[in-house]
Amino acid sequence: MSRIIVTGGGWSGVSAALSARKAGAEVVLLEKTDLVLGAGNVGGIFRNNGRFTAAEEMKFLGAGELFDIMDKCAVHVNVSFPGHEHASLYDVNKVEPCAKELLGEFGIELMTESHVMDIVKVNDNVEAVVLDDGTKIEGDVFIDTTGSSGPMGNCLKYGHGCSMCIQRCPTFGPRVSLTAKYGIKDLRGRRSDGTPGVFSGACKIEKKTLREDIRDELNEKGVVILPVPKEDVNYDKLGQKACRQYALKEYSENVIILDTGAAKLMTSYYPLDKLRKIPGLEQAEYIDPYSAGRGNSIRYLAVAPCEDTMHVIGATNLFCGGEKGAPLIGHTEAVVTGALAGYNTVKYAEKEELLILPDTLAVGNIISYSHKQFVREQIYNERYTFAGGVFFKRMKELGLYSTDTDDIENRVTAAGLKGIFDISPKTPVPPHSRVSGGQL
Amino acid sequence: MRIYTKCSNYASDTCPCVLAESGHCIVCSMCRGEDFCDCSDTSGFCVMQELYNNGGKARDQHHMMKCTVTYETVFDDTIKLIRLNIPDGEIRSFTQLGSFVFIRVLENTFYDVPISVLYEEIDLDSIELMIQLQGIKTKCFKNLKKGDTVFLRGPYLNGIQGLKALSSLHNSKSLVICRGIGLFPSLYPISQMIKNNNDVKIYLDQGTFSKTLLRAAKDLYELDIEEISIMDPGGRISSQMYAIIDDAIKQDVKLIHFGTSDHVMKQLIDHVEEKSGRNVALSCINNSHMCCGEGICGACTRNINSQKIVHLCKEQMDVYEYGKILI
Repeated sequence: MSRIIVTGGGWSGVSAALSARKAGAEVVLLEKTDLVLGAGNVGGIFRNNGRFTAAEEMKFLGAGELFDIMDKCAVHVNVSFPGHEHASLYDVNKVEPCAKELLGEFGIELMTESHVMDIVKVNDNVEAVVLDDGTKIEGDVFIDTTGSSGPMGNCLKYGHGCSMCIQRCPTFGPRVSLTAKYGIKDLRGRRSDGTPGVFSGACKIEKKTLREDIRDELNEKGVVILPVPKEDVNYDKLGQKACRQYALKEYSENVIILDTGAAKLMTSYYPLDKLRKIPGLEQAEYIDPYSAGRGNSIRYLAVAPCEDTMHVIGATNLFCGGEKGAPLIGHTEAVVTGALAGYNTVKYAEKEELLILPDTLAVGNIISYSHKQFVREQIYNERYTFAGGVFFKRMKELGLYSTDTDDIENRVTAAGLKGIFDISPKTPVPPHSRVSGGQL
Repeated sequence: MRIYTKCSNYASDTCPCVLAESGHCIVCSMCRGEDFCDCSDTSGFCVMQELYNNGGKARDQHHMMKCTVTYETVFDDTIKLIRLNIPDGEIRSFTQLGSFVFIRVLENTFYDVPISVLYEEIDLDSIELMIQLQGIKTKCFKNLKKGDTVFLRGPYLNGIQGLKALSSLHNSKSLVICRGIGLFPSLYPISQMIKNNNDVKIYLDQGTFSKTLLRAAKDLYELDIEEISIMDPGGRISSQMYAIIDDAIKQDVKLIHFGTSDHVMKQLIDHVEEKSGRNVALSCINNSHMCCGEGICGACTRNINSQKIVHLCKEQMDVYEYGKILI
């Protein structure tokens, strides 16, 4: 049985761990904080626009567990807001324990508060990852799903300093790029003006601090739209945002709040005094990032060059998923790349042919298209998502966007990939095997 | 695997230091002028952020203190114990594992000598130092009397290599091997390990010490020490010493601490590596020759595989790797 080590327990890492486990491997998932799902703990939006198609495709491909969790934790379904149709919103306060439980059910060894700081590389092969206490975790194939946000130095130089986001670098340590430790140069996403790094696109407000009528409306409809006073409208901010699907002028002229358990404000950082000028938000307080009045985390500064199999170009037994593996936005996208990376690590370990998701599926098309644009044509100021921007437009042009599940099932079947990720897990794994003690 | 070092000064009262200000920080790639954050082995404290918050300037650095000698005694004409009174408000910063100070009697800063802090008494604002009167700098202390003034700079924090392993050892077994004056810089680590409920077995080779001094040291610090000869008459490590180490490894000792000369330490570290496959944590005293203690002068630098220069006055290394660069 091959042993797969996944570093980074965000949506992508969890997805990679599940699909590697289902493909028959022993899997260890390392997460630096005490929560899995990473930025998924402040996400909440799925099935909007082309993400519906992608979620259904993944279900028919046999990697639907995480979407089932999201559906189970959904507090609103079929919500529309500017530029977005049929969105579902999951409760960010409920989804994380469900994901942890699922990892347990599948027999995945989850090691939280395990901050990876380096790799052990012997003859171009990764032999182990090294935790900050010196502990070495050995494996056969490794997946880097460490993401691309932070750490604090980047947030300071390219943002407005550490905004105390869900990554919690000051507490649990900085994000470490394993591909960079391997010796592969990270690629950097850019803003429309060319500055490296882009701001995360949303903040969370404590729901209790909204005016009662606004809160009731939010609870009932899932969305509230409030106009921004004319003097405070700032269109320049749209170019700095990570999320292309929300870089629309409606998002500058209004504050759009979604109900994801907390009140999700669809703009990257917004000065608190200005926010409180908006009727209904007079007492608003941020809960993620805590300093959202000043800044937000900086992302896309550590994207590794990957093939469409999610194998890292120039490396041997190293794969990537999530933001690390392509300039993709959102957890639906992270689940897609993670699942593929997890599956392919097992194929790699077994010396079998690696899977490339075909362009006839939205989930395959986004991987090949984003890699073509970002890695090969070096277009660094664009990000890709099923939910908007250039890729959603492309989906519509190519006829990939569909909300008809039969149609989606047919195309997955036609590609010969139905249930490909769905292989039952084999024998359970003894915990904490092949871990050697640390030094420094 | 590439060699990583940590900065013992990181996140201390004097961090960010002049190295960060001048673009030579040991920890922070961005303070070194690189475009992106490559922070991997730190948490809780962003040097770049602190430097930024401090207007791009280093924090207030170590400054010279004038201290009064409150007690002194000489053993064997070669070892002098002195107790110093530290100026008001400065004592709390001496209480860390690995603390050492630069001290001199003469005005001329060339005479600064690095000495480990043996012991501090917070209530009495005093610290104790044990000095071997050996070279031109240390012999100046010979005639020092109670009431005299010395110049002191510190504390610096890299007197021990393997600080993290030492401080994180709890409820385990450890072995301490010292020779001669090497016992004294090891006293603080020993007391820390005992405090953390570890079973500490101490072996001491008296080296050039007389029996009187050995007894004095035992009584002074209430240590249960077993005497041993590390070297055989031919100048090689004795088989008895190797047997003790091998036995300790078999008995699941988690940490071995060395307080010996670099020459001996190098051989012992190599032996532990061979026998344990690096599964036993190590710590040792830092015998580097130092001058400024700030990572500036270069007196303590070593070159690792022609790839990296380490400043041993500040940088913490994996002790097995440290053994490789000892001369």
